[in-house]
This record gives sequence, structure tokens and C-alpha cells, in this order.
Amino acid sequence: MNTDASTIEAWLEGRVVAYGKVDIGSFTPETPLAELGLDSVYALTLCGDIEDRFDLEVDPTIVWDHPTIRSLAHGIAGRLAAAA
Amino acid sequence: MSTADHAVLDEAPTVRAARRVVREFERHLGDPRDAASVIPVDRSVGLDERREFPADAIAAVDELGLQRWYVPEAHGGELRDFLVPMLMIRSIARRDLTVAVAHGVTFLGAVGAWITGGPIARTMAELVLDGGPVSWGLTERGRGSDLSNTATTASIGGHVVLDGEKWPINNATRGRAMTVLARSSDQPGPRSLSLVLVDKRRVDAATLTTLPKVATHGTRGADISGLAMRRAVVDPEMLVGEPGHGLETVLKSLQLTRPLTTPLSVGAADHAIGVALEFAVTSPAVGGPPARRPSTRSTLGTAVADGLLAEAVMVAAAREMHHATHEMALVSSLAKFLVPNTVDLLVREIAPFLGERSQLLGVAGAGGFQKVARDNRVVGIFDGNSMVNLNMIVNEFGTIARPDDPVDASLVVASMRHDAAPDGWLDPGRLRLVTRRGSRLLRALPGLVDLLGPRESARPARRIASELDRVVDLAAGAPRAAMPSARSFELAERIALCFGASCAIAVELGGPDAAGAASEARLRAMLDRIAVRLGVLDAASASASASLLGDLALEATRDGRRLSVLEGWEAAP
Amino acid sequence: MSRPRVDAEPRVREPDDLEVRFGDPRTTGPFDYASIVADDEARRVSTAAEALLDEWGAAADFVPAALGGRWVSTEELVHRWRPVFRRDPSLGLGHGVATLTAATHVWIAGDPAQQAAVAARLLRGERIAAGLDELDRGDLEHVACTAALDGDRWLVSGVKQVVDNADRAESMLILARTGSGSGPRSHSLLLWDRDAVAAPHVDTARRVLTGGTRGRRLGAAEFRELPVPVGRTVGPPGTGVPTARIASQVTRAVLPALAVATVDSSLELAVRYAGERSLYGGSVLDLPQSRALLAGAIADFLLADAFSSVVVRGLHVAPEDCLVPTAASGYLVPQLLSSAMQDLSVLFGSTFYARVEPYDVFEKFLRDVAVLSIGHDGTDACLRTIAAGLDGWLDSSRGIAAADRAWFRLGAPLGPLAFDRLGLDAGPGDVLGAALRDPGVRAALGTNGQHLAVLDRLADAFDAARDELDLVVARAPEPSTDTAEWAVPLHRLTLLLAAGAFAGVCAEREGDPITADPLVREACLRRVEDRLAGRAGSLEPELVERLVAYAVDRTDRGIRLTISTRDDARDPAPKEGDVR
Ligand SMILES: Cc1cc2nc3c(=O)[nH]c(=O)nc-3n(C[C@H](O)[C@H](O)[C@H](O)COP(=O)(O)OP(=O)(O)OC[C@H]3O[C@@H](n4cnc5c(N)ncnc54)[C@H](O)[C@@H]3O)c2cc1C
Repeated sequence: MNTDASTIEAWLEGRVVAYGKVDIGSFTPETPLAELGLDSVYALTLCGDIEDRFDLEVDPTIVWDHPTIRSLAHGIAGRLAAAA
Repeated sequence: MSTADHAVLDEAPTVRAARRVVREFERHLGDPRDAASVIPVDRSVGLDERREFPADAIAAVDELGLQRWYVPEAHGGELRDFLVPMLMIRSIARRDLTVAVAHGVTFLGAVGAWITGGPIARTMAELVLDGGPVSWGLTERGRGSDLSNTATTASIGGHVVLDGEKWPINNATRGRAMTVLARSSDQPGPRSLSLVLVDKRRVDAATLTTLPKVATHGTRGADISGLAMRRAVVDPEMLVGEPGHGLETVLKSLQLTRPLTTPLSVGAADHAIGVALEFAVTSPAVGGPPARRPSTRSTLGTAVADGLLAEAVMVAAAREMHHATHEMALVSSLAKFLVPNTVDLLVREIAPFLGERSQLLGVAGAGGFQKVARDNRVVGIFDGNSMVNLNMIVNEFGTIARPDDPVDASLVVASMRHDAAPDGWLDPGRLRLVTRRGSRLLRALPGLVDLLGPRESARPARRIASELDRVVDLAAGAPRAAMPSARSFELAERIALCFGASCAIAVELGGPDAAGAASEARLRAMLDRIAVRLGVLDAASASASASLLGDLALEATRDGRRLSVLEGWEAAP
Repeated sequence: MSRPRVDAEPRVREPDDLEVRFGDPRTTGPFDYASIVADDEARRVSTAAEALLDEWGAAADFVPAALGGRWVSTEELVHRWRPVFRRDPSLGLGHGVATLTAATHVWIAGDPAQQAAVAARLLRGERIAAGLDELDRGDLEHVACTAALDGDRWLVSGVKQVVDNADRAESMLILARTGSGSGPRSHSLLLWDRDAVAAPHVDTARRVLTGGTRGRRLGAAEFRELPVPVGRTVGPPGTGVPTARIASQVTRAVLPALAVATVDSSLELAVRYAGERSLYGGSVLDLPQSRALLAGAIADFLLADAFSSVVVRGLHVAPEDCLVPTAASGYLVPQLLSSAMQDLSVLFGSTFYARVEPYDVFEKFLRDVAVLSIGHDGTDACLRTIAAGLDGWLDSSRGIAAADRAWFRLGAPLGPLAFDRLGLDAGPGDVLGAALRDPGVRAALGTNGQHLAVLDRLADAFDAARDELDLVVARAPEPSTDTAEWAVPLHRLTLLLAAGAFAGVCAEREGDPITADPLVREACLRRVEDRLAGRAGSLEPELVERLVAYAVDRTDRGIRLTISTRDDARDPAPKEGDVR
């Protein structure tokens, strides 16, 4: 599985669109997740999705510390690298 | 503190010692009907009526050194197994919930420091061991449960400067210190709050004002008040955890504090049931004591079953703190919802049996019941109210419904064994804000049912397990929402009841007489009652097991005993 | 979601309306919520309100018109007293119901001279206390207080532990054992006047305290060979218990209907609170779960209102049929109301537990309503009454197909209450159950809407409940509520009677937007269904929204939510921001 930050970023964008709160093209990787309708409840869903996809256990605090798609992608990539 | 008392409480860290500590504590508190005991019920009722703080009782409990069980061993205290202080808090609550709340809240206020560790833990430990009440300063006026909306500010520089009000807070006025949640950054988001320990002795008194006592429904004597901070300057080393990590620490603390509140309700249940049983056995009613009437047996038995369920959930939650620390995000909410809710129900349903006695005070020995009925309501409100806890369960629907990790039910039972105790203090690093797979207790329900084998109690257990199946399927399909539907709350409530069934089975199977008739009678009545509450069994069908349990409870009352899922735990050598 | 239909403008109120005399309790006044809370804390009732009641000639309400009082329609009596129960049940019980209860015995069994004497006393503004039951006696038959014949007087000895106004009522009705045997024929009712003889034969100094209705003046009355003239025996000697059982039908009907008013006030407070308390960037009322809690409470409340009001009318329409309906209302309505209060307390959360103005009176109402379901004539006694009359009732219930709809025509004029027609038999008809299948009721409910299907299911459930009860009666020769075998089906029966009453009211309330609304009908009937199934489920979102919309709208416009008092508006809404 390709786990570089830009692949993760694209995957995250797909997830955010799938949650149905925003349309493709209406945001950038730098838009704060909170503005994408990603409230604390969706943060929980996202954690589950990250775990399923990358087999990586994360707590919602990862979203707190990485509040945009870009930063989150880096956060995930970093943890994957550390776990490898 | 007298050296004799001290010696009793200074045992080696073994299960046996833990049992002795709890037993001795209970013995020291004495018979509340005895006016010379530490917390006599008549005095409690009088203080409550006058809204007076139970200062004598608190001093006596301090003297017994309960606060030492609030501090982990590593920081110089006695805390190893959470169940031990929980059982002591229950012993107090059984006599006067106001006293238990007033003393126990220090445990809540201190937990954050045990989670973050570091030098603040030492400071906190000194404070608590010194007998200083610590309060838990989260809530603000008009803001309720929404902690992310906290308005008290902490500007962190060379000093921490606090501005704002915390209200309503238990022990805000009499407390020595308060663990305060405050906003430390203007940035939106969850990393903008910090936790600060405000030791009133180390802050300029002119910058602190206590707010007047609030009149409360129950626990009328408690110091429910507030603290206003006006540019109060605190040393940065009083930060509990890193700046910006306050909300995370609070959310993790709540996972421990919520189970810690369950013994308040379990003690309340002990009290309410005790009044009813005593009345049944001794009432001079013409035509013989009510105990002879068949409906009395099933009414009492149902109440006893509810009390046992509350106790089982408390015990299981205490065990899970050590054995499934990573699942406490869910377990804490399940327990914090189910225990006070069940005890409130018990109290309401037993009141008509007591009739006017349930309302009277100061006549013919009555008074304790009307107090405990009001007091117990506090447990479902503070430290996260029932709706917030149901909401937390709803938020976990996704993890609860995730494809199964197989659970070995016998391992679950093993960790509930009465003769087992956790190795030591839990690892706070394992606390998570969300679980990965819900609770192993829930997942183990089908396996636990299998362990019951041919026992009668397997019948209601099977119904409950298939209900859980159905409910989890529905939960999986429930829409995710910041404000979940009422339907989702209902599912959450049902999941909590099924969780109760798991706790009941696991704790009973972990007992010394797991195969015995008494254990089966308790379990059958608990499970029948849960099945009735779930609507999968009609009330009439549950009356046989309730009557049987009622008989056992009446017999125990005549012998001066009380039924318990921990039967033998305290009494064992 | 459409807004509910708007009601007609409230009718101008009569000048003797207590609502007007008392004023809006949310704005500063002599009998406002703030003073009610303070009085409650101090364990007293408002002296200002007591003075207003005296001035209004309150006790005349409990004297039949034929004896010079104002009591004609009990339904109107209830409406006149509801303003008291909207503010302080302690006052309503102490100043009202206690005297009503005692006096009713005299209207039922007293001789003309006794009736005239009691009427005269009440019209002077005096009180009569009811010294009937005793603590821990379980049943009136077991009352231990004795009266021994000594020439032309009784000598009464014993204790009544919990009596309203024990220390200040000018008279007291005492139930005392006058025969040696056991059973219902061994007690008599005696009227004692304090001005005739008191100390050292009577001690009423000991006050008794309660957790709810703290302001009530309850006390113990201890008698030591208290002389009472034989001529003051109410009814023939030995008839005390049956008379008390007949009289309790009036109290069982009236008290629940009054308690509805306390919950009415509570609902209004809850709606205001939920709209005003901000949370998560909105208000508590924005949370679907809060709305569902509120809606459940409203549904229970509307059922309680309809059921209790119908039963009050039944006292006049068919007194001989009232044994079972009054017991059913006395049993079920307090439960429905307590359940509604419980739900509202969860909605209030810390704002009820820690008393916060301007909602602090809710905390008191919660405690007060809890008292009503455990009173001396509590749920157990009511169930026992139904059980005892069940055999005959089941027969007569099957004998009637059409309901006498006068029961349901809330507000329609009623003649004086025929006390002599109240009895201890089940009576010839069961109007409430019949309403579930009555073609006329059915036709009036329209042809569309889910509520009709629910009604059909409830009618089937009613048949099933009767069949089940047949079996129970056949199995057990001795009626008893002592086992779940009796208690569970009887509980279901009372729920179905409530459903019948509600359906009947809906059929008769043309023009009332709430009861005419098919969604409201469905919501309330479904609530009954849920309760029959033992589920505490929440209502469908569509039903929740409709009920909440009515409650919000009525609160906004200052109109009561009770369906039994269509024209009974509260004072005009206060000015914006003026909450106290
Ligand atoms: C006696 C007492 C002692 C207290 N002691 C302390 C203390 O020591 N320290 C401290 O920090 N605080 C303390 N509190 C405050 C208490 O913890 C908070 O008030 C409480 O947790 C917040 O809930 P609330 O009832 O105020 O409800 P709010 O959060 O204001 O909510 C109002 C209502 O909305 C509903 N609701 C709220 N959230 C949800 C949801 N997520 N989903 C559905 N419905 C919801 C509920 O019906 C709730 O009752 C104390 C309160 C009391 C009464």
C-alpha cells in the first residue's frame, strides 16, 4: 500500500466528501477540517476509517493536533513510518 | 488519627488485605441506627433538613484515612485496586450520600494529575494525603455539559493568570484546592483548554471569591457553590498536564471518575432496600407483617435485583478500569448511565410499598428514605449527566458494531474473580478517547450465556443476547449525528441494559459460589428484570424469580445480612 | 413541519377566577413562584394566598348548593381549584382537598342536622380534618383507634399519625373501631368539634414532616378517652368503612384531576427552560432527545388530563358506575403524572437539582407530585378496589356496546352530585372500555389517520385483557392484588380505560385543535400501546414534533396545554424579558 503523504491526502479528501457535508472542489487540503463539517462525531468515524485502511490505531486527538487534511496526512504518514 | 485505626488500614497490598480494609472501614462506621455511630441516620436527616454540612462525619472519615486510597501507591498513597476505595465510598453512601459525595469528590478532582503524571502528581498527592478537599472545576454557569465552550481563561506565561467563574461546584467553598479547566488559547478547537490546580493557600486570597451555596434537591447539606477567580495568579508548575491538553486530560479523567461515582448509587440502593426490607420484617401492620404478603416478596425481590445489578455493574466497571483500560471511554458511560438510572427506578418503584413512610421524616423511624430518594438523583446529573453518557454510547455505535474481535468469555470471567485483584495501578497511557471495538463485556455476552450452560438463568440471558444482536444491527445503521435522534438514544439505553446483563453474569461467575443456588437466584432475578426492562419478557413472568430473591433477602434481613454479588468477598478471611 | 392550528381567543374569565386573584406567578406578587419556593423551604404555605382563599370563601366550594354552598358540578370545582394546584399543591391539599375529603363523608352519610351543622361551619370558613387511616395499617379495616360506648357518648382512644391541619382544624372526622369483630362493619365515623372538648383528651401538638408538599401542616392527633356524643356518629354505627370507601371515590376522582394542573405548570416551565438554556451553540430544545423527552411527557399529561376529567364527570353522569373508574384514575393518573415529571426532570438536569431561578419551583413540583401517588389512598388501595369489584365489572363491561358520551363532553353542564347514588358495586356499565369500540366515537374520529389503527389494536387489547382477567378471577376465588398475576393485568386494564376516555374526549372535542389533530391522537394512543408492552420507547419524530409544537405555541401565547380547560387561559403573557 502506498502510504506517502500525498496518497493519504487524496484518500482523506475522498473520505471527507463521502461524509456528505461538502462537495468536491469546495475546499483545499489546507481548509480546517472543522469547516468541512467534520465535527467531533465525524472525527470518531474518521479514526475508524483510518484504522481500517492503514491498520493504524489512532485516537481522535490526531485530528486535534492535525486540524487540516494536509497536516493530518502528514501525521498519519509519520505514524506509519514510525510503526514500520 | 488514632494509631489503632491506622494499623487496621495499613495492610499489605493483597486481596486479603483489601478485604480487611473494606470490612474494617465498614465496621468503624458502625450501625447508623446507633446514635453514637460515625454517621447516624437521624443526624443525617436532621442536617439535611437544615441544609447543614455534615462536618462531623467528614472529619471522622478523614480520620479513618479514606483519602489515602484516593492516591496511587506510586505517589505515596494506598490506591492499587479501584474497587477498594469504591467499596468504602459505598459504605459511606449507604449511610449518608451527602457525606460520600463531599468526601469522594476529592478523588474526582485529583484524578487528572494521576493521568498526566509528572511533578504535579506529587503536589496533588501531598494535598490529598494532607486531607485537603480538592474540587473538580469544570462547569460554568449557563454552560452545562458543553466543556469546549469554557469561558474561564488561563493566560500562560511566566505565571498562569486565571479569570472566570466555576459554578456549581461541589466543595468550592470548603475545598482547599480546585482543578480548574480554563481556556488558554484563542484558537478554536480542542487544543485550546488547559487544566490548572488552584491551591487556595498558594494564591492571593484577594483574587478568589467563593460564590454562595446553591439550594439543591437532594444532598441538601453539601457545599455546592462556586469559585470566582479575578486575575488569580498561579505558579506554572500547577498546570495539570501540558498546556492545551486540558480537554484531553478531562475526557480521560472522566473515564475514571464516572465509574467512581457508581458506588454513590450502589450505597443509595443499599439504603433504600434496607429501609424496605426492615419495614417488611418489622412493620406492626395488622394482619401480620407485610413480608407475609406474596406481592411484597416480588416487589422487594425486584428492588433487590435492581440493587444487585447496580452493584455488579460497579464491580465490573472497577475491574475494567484495570483490565480494559482502553475501553473505558465506553465502559465509563455505560456504567455511569446504567447505575444511577437503575437505582432511581428502584427508588421510585419501592416507594408505593413504603407508602407514607417513603415521604415522612422524624416519625416512627422514617426519614432516611425520602432523603436517599432525593440524594440519588445527583449521581445522574453531575460529572456528565445521563443524556451526555447516552450520547457517548451513541458516538461509539460504530465501534460497538465493528466486526467482532472474538472474546474469550472465560477470560472476562477470570478478571472478575473475587479472589483476583489487579496487579496495581492502571496504565493511564492506555486510556483512549474512543474505543476500537466497543466493550469486551458486550462482545462477550453470547459467550457468557454459553458459560451458563443448563442453568435457568440462561433463558433470560439468551433473550437478552439476541436483543443485543438486534440492537447492535440497528445501531450500525443509525445515522451519525452531532445531535443524535431519540431513536439512537433509545438504542443506547438498550445497549446499556445488555451491558448490565454481561456484568451480572461475569461477576456472578467470578464469585466463589458461582454454581450455587444463591448465585443462581440472584442472577436469574437480575436477568429477568433486565429482560422486562428491555420489553423482551413480560412482567408477570419475572415475578417468580423476583419472589424467590425477595424471600432470600427477607431471610438475610432477619439474620442481619444483606444480599450481594460480592457475597463472601468482604467476609472472607 | 406545519404549525398547529391556532386556537380561538381565550374567553373572558369570570371575576371569581382564582387565576386572576392570584396573578401571574412568574411576575412579582404576593403569591409568585419566588415566594412559593421560599415558603416551601420554610415549611409553610403562603399566608397571602390563604387570606385570598378565605376572602374568596374557598370552603363554600365543598358545600353542596342545596346546603348553601357552591358545589354543583365537580368538574367546575376542579377547574376553580386548579389555579391553586398550578402554584402550590401544599396549599391545595391542606386548604382544599383535606376539607373536601372529610366533608364528603358527611354529605354521603350524615343526617340532615349534621349536614346543616357542617355546612354552616364550612361556610364560616372553618376546616374539617380527616382522621381516617393510620400509619402502617394498610387498610381502613385495620384501623386501631377505638371508640368505646359510655352512656350517650363515645370515648375515643388512639392515634392518627398523619393528618392535614390536625392542630388547627375546628373539627375532625375520626374513623374508630366501635365493634369487636374484624371486617368492614366494625368501625364508625365520629365528628369531633374542637370547641366542644379538647385538652387533655386530645394532643395535636406534634407536627409531621414530609419530603414533598413540605408546606403542608400535617400533624399527629392523639386521643385519650376523647368524649364524642353518640349523636355525632356519621351514618349508622358500623358503617364507617363502607362510607369511607364511597367517599374515597370522590377524592380519587378529584385529586388526580387537580394534580394535572401542577404538571401543566411544570410543562410550561420546561418549555421555557428548554428554549432559553443554551447548549452546543443552540438551545436544549434543539436537541432531538430533549424534544422526545418533552413529547413523551406531554403525551402522558394529555392522557392523564383526559382520563381524570372524564372520571370527574362520571361522578355526575353515572354515579353508580364510578367504583372502578375512580379507582383506575386514582391508580393510573398519578403514575402518568409522575412519569411525566420524571422525564421533565431529566430534561432540566442540573437546573432542577440545583435550584436556579426562575425555574426553581419545578424542583418543588417534582417532589409534590411524588406525594400524590403514595397518599393514604395510594396505588395499592386503588388496585385492591378494582380487584374486589372485578367479577361484576367484567360482566357489566361485556354487556354494553355503546358509550354514554355525556361522560366525554368536557365542560357540558352537570347537575348536582347525587351522593346517594355512589355505591360499592361495580355498577351496570363500563363506558370507558366501551368507547374503544363504540361506533359513534369511532365515526367522530374521522376516517383517516394512523390513530384509527392504533385504536383498533387497543380495542383488541381490551378484549384480551378482559379474557385474561376472567381467567385470573376464575383461578383465584379471593380477589387480591398481592401477586403479579393480578397486578399486571389490572395495570393494563387501567391503561386501556384511559385510552377509552381519551378516545371519547377526542370524539367530543370538535373545535379543539389539540384533540382534533390526528397526530396528537396517534401520539397519545401509541403511548398507551408502548406502556402496555412495557416499553419506554420514544415516539416517532413526526409525533414528537407535533406535540412539541403545540406546547411551544401555547407557552408562547400564554394558553394552558390542558385539553380539559379549553377556555382557561393564563394571565396575558408578561412583557418580554420579564420572567419573574
Ligand atoms: C449538585 C451538583 C454538583 C455539581 N458538582 C460539580 C462539580 O463538582 N464540578 C463540576 O465541574 N460540575 C459540577 N456540577 C455541574 C454538573 O456536572 C453539570 O451541570 C452537568 O454535568 C451538566 O449538565 P446539566 O444538567 O447542567 O445540563 P446541560 O448540559 O445544561 O444540558 C441541559 C439538558 O440538556 C440535555 N442534554 C445535554 N446534553 C445532551 C446531549 N448530549 N444529548 C442529549 N441531551 C442533552 C439534558 O436533558 C440536560 O439536562 C454539579 C452540579 C450539581 C447539580
